Amino acid sequence: MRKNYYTLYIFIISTILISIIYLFYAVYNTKEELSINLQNKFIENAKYLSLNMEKLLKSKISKNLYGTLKENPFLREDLEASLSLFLTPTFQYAYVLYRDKDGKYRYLLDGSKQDKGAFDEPLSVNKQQWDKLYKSSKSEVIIQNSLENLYGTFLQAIIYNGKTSAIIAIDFSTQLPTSITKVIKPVSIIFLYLFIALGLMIIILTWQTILNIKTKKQSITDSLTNLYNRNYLNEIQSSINLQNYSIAMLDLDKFKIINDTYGHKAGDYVLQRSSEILKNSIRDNDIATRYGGEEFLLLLYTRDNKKSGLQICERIRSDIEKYTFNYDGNDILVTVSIGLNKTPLEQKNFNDAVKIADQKLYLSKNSGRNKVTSSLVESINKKITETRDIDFVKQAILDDRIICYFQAIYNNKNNKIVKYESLVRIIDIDGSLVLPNSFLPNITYTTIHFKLTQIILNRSFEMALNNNKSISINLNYSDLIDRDIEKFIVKRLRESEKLASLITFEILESEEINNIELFKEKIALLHSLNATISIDDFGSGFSNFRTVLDIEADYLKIDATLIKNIDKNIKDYAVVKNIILFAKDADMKTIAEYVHSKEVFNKLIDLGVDYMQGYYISKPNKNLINEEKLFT
Amino acid sequence: MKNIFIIFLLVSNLLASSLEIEQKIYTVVLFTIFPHKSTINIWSDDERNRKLLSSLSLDIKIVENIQDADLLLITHTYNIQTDKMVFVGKYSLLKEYNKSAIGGFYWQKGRPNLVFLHKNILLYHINLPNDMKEFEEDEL
Repeated sequence: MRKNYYTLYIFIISTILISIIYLFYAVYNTKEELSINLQNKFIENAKYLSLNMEKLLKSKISKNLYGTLKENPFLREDLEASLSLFLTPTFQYAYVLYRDKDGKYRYLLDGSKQDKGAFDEPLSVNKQQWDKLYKSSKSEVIIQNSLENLYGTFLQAIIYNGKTSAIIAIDFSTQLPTSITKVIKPVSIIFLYLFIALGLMIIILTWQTILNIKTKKQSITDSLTNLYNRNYLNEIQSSINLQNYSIAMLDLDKFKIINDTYGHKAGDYVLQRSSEILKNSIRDNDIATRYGGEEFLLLLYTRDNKKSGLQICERIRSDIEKYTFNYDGNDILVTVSIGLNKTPLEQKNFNDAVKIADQKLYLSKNSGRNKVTSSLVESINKKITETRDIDFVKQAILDDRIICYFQAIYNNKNNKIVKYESLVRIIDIDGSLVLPNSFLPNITYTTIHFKLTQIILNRSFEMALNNNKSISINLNYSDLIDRDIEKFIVKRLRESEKLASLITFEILESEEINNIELFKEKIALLHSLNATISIDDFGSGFSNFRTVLDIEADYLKIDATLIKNIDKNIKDYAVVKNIILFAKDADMKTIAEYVHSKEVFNKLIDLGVDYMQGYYISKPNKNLINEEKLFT
Repeated sequence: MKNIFIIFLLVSNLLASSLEIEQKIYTVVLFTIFPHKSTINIWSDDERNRKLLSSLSLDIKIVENIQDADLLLITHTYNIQTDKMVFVGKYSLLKEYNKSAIGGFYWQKGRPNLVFLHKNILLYHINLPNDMKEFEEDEL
């Protein structure tokens, strides 16, 4: 529809332009034609006059024109008087010249009333043209046409005995061209202004077109990476033939941590370099776009070779992994996870095809990152349905279906609940409760994860304040170094000392802690706010005694894998026993989680653990339960 | 070269203004008549011609007394008794000063006309360049 309007505009503007040019041409032509007609009219009249003069001369002098006139001054006077009768203000001069032996032209007769030449007096003429006429014995017109006046001389040879004896010359001049110019001048001025206006219009239109092209280019180009952006994808998705393309979704692994650790400028640098690697790895037929944040979408032209899409993705993955991203003296390790939809035509539309590539990308993420996944849609769809994707969490946030459950942490020495651990849940659309292990892995390191953390923090803070109860909140390293989350925690805990005294942050040591000094700095900040720190899942994974001592944690939460079989596995028992001893020496309290049976509970009492939590004591509940509901 | 230019001007007079043509022609003519004279004293009976002569690039002095003149440029006056060299501005004056006029320059029917009188050219020992010889008249 829009295109039709453009065609119509162009048609109208072209028609106006052509009409104006045609009008100008017609007016100009009219002026020319009028001038030519006028000229022809004068020439025609001059011709009649000269023919009459020739007749007159020949009737008076039958032979030897020069000799007769030379000998007979009275005849000259008589003829000159006759010639003068032919004259008008336009036809001012009528005279007869002959060519002497030296080739000079001299007067025989001059009928002119002024500027009269005498017999035999020379007259400067255009000899070339006069000689030509003398030779050809025909008539000739010499026109000198200026813008304002028309000057002309009509020449007619007088033939005696087959030879040119003399030439009748009639000079005519008129100012009629001035009149024509005067009449046409207003029209010319209108055209002048019209052409100036048209010229300005063309300049403005050209300038506007250039601006439009620039704006258009800017609107479809990502300014940071110079790749196409999502607007471009929206524009081309209806016209692109999915039969010829594979769709690859790329996501830089743990990009949030790079941003938080090295700063946003470092993040921008990584995005720029990664985009260059992308551009260098694709071909002219391929299309690379920045899909959002650290996500890229590639349309890989695979009409000729279906395998080429996978080869390109693997090459990109490998090139990014090998590339040394050095920013401000820091070598940053970057990897990329890629989901490749090799058969997008099988989906209903472009968006569904992108969604499949996105799901494959999450498979790459969930299976260790730095991978390309292109397995068949059927096989992954099953896996995808087992977990909840990022859109599920986004929608839950929008619908306010995020809730916190609280599990009591029990002090077996005084039979009191010492605090509650806050645990996130999502209420599904059908009302069922979705546990975090089915959606958290899919949103790790995404902005959605941080939004979710903020919601949990807010709900937990309110619960602690409203009930005056201590609450533990889980934070991972990426949460800890996120500036928005830090700002939120600092603001709330500084606002309320009481809240700070009620909050324990359970920090998980993990592989993602790539800057231990930053980690320690953030823990120190939480300490300074009077919050307490618990090390989560201690005793397995990436737990580090040195770090635990350095950060002066208040609690050690012993990992569930060590607790759940403690009544049967003597190795687990030995490890837990030593952790408790270490904690006592380091002045830290111990918490055992996953206490699921009486046997486990009793073993832990024997070992002298400080606090316990688990289904044997109480299940997580959306309210803060009291001691009466324990062990029920 | 200058002469060729004059011929060109004589036949294509409308290309330039009449004043420009006259300036060029008088410059060439006066230089031809007085090739070695540093200052040329000229008497003229026409105010326009006096101004025109003063505007030339030659060293020309307009004199008030005929006796002081090297050349008389006569455009209107008949019956001047003189033995000075005369150059006229009208064809009829050529006949009047037949004995002392070396030539004349005048406009007729919108065309510039240059004429030299052969016998007087010889009389005053003027060496007319070849290109200007076509404007020579043996007799009137």
